[in-house]
This record gives sequence, C-alpha cells and structure tokens, in this order.
Amino acid sequence: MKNQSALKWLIPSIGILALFAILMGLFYETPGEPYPITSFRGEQVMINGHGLYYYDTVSTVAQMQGNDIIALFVGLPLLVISTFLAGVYPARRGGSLRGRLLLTGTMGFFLYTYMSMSMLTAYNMLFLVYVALFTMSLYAFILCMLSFDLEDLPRHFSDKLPRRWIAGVLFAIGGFLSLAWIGRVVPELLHPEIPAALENTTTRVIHSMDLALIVPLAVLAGILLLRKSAWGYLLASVAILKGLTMALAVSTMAINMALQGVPDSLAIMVPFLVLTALTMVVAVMLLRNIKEQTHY
Amino acid sequence: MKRQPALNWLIPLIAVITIIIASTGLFSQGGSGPFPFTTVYGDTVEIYGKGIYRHDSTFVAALFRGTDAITLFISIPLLLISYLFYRRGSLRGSLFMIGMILYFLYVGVSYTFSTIFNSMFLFYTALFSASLFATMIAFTSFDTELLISKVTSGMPRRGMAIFLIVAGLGTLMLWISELIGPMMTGTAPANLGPYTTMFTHGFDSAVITPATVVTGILLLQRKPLGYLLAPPLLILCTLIGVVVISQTISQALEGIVFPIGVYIGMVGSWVVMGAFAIGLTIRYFRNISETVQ
Repeated sequence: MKNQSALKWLIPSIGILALFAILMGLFYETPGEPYPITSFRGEQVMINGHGLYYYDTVSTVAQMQGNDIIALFVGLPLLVISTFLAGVYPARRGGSLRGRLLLTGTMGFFLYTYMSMSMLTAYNMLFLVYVALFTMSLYAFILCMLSFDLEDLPRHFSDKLPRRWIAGVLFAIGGFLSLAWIGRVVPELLHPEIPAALENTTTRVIHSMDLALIVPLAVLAGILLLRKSAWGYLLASVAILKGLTMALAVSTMAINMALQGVPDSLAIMVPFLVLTALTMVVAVMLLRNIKEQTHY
Repeated sequence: MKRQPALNWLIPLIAVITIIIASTGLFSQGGSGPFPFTTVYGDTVEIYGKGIYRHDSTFVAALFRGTDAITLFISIPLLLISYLFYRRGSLRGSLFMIGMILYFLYVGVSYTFSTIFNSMFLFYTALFSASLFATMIAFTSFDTELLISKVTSGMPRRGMAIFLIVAGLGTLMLWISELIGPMMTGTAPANLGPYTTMFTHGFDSAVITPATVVTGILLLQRKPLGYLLAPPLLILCTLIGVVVISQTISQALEGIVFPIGVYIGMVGSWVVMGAFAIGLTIRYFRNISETVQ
C-alpha cells in the first residue's frame, strides 16, 4: 500500500489511544450522581455528575458510551483486520483492495468519532487525547484516500456491481439526514422564544457535520457512481464502509438512550435502524463485487 | 489550474453567504444587553446579550465581531478579485484564490462550531460545506508538476519552510500551554466560559499545525506539493494576523482590556507572524512566472 511509512506508525497509535479513550469513557468512575441545571437558554438539563463524562448531560453520555461500545467491539477489530488485509502490517507489497477500502472506511469512522468528541464532549481531562485522535485519523484518512490509483480503480469492480442500489442507499442516507436535521433546526429558528433543545452544548455539532460533510459526500458519491466515474467508485465504497460502522454506532446510541430513560423520537430512531440494515446489505454486495486479481 | 465549473457557483455562493453572516454579526441589534451567568463549572461569565451573538460570552462575541469586520471589508473583495483573475487564466490569481477559499473554510468552521447556536446556524453550515468542497476541488485541479516549472530561482523555499514550521509549532505550544495547567488541576481553562469545549485550541492543533509543519517539510524536501500548499497557508496566516488586530480592537471597544504584557506577548506574536507571512507571500508571488494557461 502507498504511504505505508506514515500509516505504519499512525494506525497503531490511533488504535492504542482510541482503546485508552474508550476504556476511560466506559469504566473511569468518580462518586456522584446526576443533578439538574438550567442552561442560560432556560432549558432544564440533567448533568451526568460522575465519571469521565462528568459535565455532559445524561443523554449525551448515553450516546457517547453507545459509540464507545461500538468502537470497542466493531471499530477497533475492523481497524486491526483491515490493517492486516491492506498489507500495512505485516508490511508487504500488494495487500487486497477490499482491505484498503475497508481500512479507509474504518479510518473515516474514527475521524468522524474523534472530530465530534473534540468538539462536542464537555471539556474533560482527555481533551488532548481526543484532539490527537482527531488529527491522526484525519491525516491517516487523507493518506488512505490518496493511496488509490484512481484511473485503475473502476476495472476492479465486476459488471454485476449493483450501482443503482448502492447509489439509492447513498441518496437515502443523504435525504434522510437532510430532512431529519433541517426539520429539527428550522422550527427552533422560527420560534426563538422556546429554548432550543441543545442540552448544555455550544451548538449542534453533529447536525452541522452531517449536513456539511456527510450529506454532500453521500449525494456526490451516488451521482458519480451512477456516471461510472472513478471518483464515484472510491467515494461510494468509502461512504458505505464508513456508514456501516457509523450506522451500527447510531443504533447502539439510540438503544442505550432508551435504556437510560432518555429515548430519542421514534421518527429518528426507526429510519436510522432501517438505514443501518440497508447499509449492511449494500456493504456486503459491494465487497462481493470486487475483483482482486491485480496487485500493486 | 484546470477550469472547474463547480467553482463558478461555489465562489459566488461563498461570497453571498458570508456577506449575510458577517453583516448580521456586525449590524444586528436587539436584546437586553450583557448579563452575568454562572457556568456548570461554577465560574461567572458575562454573556453578551445583544444581536446575533447574544448567547455568546462578551469575550467571544467581540472576537467574532472583529472577524466579521475583516471578512466583510477585506476578505470578500480579495476573494472576488482573485476569482476574476482565475477566470482570466492567471496562475497567480488561481493560487491566491485557493488561499482565500482556505480562509473562508477556516472562518466557516469557526462560525459553525465556536459560536453558540443561533439563527445563522444553517448559513454557517452552508459556508463550511461550500468552502470545504471548493478547497478540495481547487487543490485537486492543480497540476503541481506544471507549477514547479514556473518557479524561478529567487523563491524563498527555506524561509517559507522555516516560517511554516515555526508558526505551526508556535501555535500548538501556545494553545497547549493554556491547557496544561487546568488539566493538571482538573479545572476548566480560563476562557472556556459557557462553551462545551476549547474548539479553537483543538481545531488549530489537529488540523492547522500538522498542515503547516508537513508543508514546511515538503518544501525542505523540494517536493512539488509543498509549493502548492505553501501560498494558501501563508495567505491564511497573513489574514489571521489582520483578524487578530481587528479582534483586539473589537474587544477593547467592549471594555475587555488586557495587561500590557499580554498585548506584547500574545497579540504581538500574531502580528509578527502576519508580517513575516506577508513578506514571504509577496516573495513567493514574485517568483512565480506568469503565463496564460
């Protein structure tokens, strides 16, 4: 794989630091229990009051710990497996295309996770760890993206690749995120007298990241894939394989929120669970339609 | 630089959105004025209470009004002028335009994640998205090999490399020095105020520092990519120097005055950085031979 030398130390560092951050999030405990505060917006929120996520709200903690669980049991194992398949460890020329696409998608998941934790987790003693994970996964993601030979990429996919299905799922993801998040933000903007349901956070980080990054990426990938452009194959593969981990994480968050007694609305949860299932189906179709005969 | 049809609507879109954002920030009124608020950490901070930044702390609202002024009166004209030169096929104009798009990406990210949620939120997000994709399109449509062939002998390659590395690491050390103390004692950093976390510290450390340091190293290695990445980063540094001056004036107008040592140390170092960046930017552009593509 190209860009080996940097990825060889970036990926293990990400793995070790992420494992540390996840275990701290799940198991670091301090005495105390949730207490209510009133934000300056006039919104009543429950502060977690214990553990690493002391100053986050009960609802946010349920989401972050849901994500920690998926990162631990799906994200990290995928990182190890794809690093091996991509030929980064043990270092060898070649390495399968499936492995490299999976590695890039998994990197995308760690980038999204730690970009959002750098911005959305109430400042705690792991702040610099989140920032380190954000920067390493950002640059590792860029190196992974640049390691593909674009001109050569389309012929590695079989003619039976269900491009319309994959594009359809990408459009569904883009469409659902746009409708759900704009539908949540616009009423708040129209009724400034009612405090926006922002818990104790500065702003809507996830909504902004999804609308600014994920929606354009998904829609663009779908269009380019339908046009059989080389970029379309790369972006669609990465978007679907990143979406796989992400969708699982969101589903776990939703389940964990319900278990903690702070459920999100069904109108958000049900489509997310459906999209998770669809993403898993097309991820399998995608991986089955990659031809591996040529090595780099 | 290859012509990119997408830029023909992305650049005007960036300009229009930013005019709305910056003029709302500067001119919106209303609200009951400043009031004290006790944060979740038990610190008392002053909330601005006026205009679009009414929920931000006075400290941060003043910063953003300083940014708004420079963005509206200097950055938007520079973006549009460089865009016209790019349309005429000018190489220098194209390079300058990438630097301007990068500036709009930087302020777009700051507006989106640093200000308290307000009615401009979707505009901030649109600016962030449009300038991010414009940056990626612009960078990937540049032929770096061709650029290298236009570089003349007076190019301050080492000077740019050293500056970018020092500026990047200097920023990193400045931000970390503000965090280490509170991290040791487990308290909130002084400027956290009503915010979730230290956004600028995190973003600069995670994105900007590695970009400038890697570009510096690429330049030292004479890699073509270094010559492409250097001018946009220099332009960004220059404009941030100008923005910091404006932010400091804006804060002083709100009655936030620092001890003289802070002006010399903190503000002074940004201004010196900006001055070096201007000098190197000018020398870079003098050493690119212009040809119509």
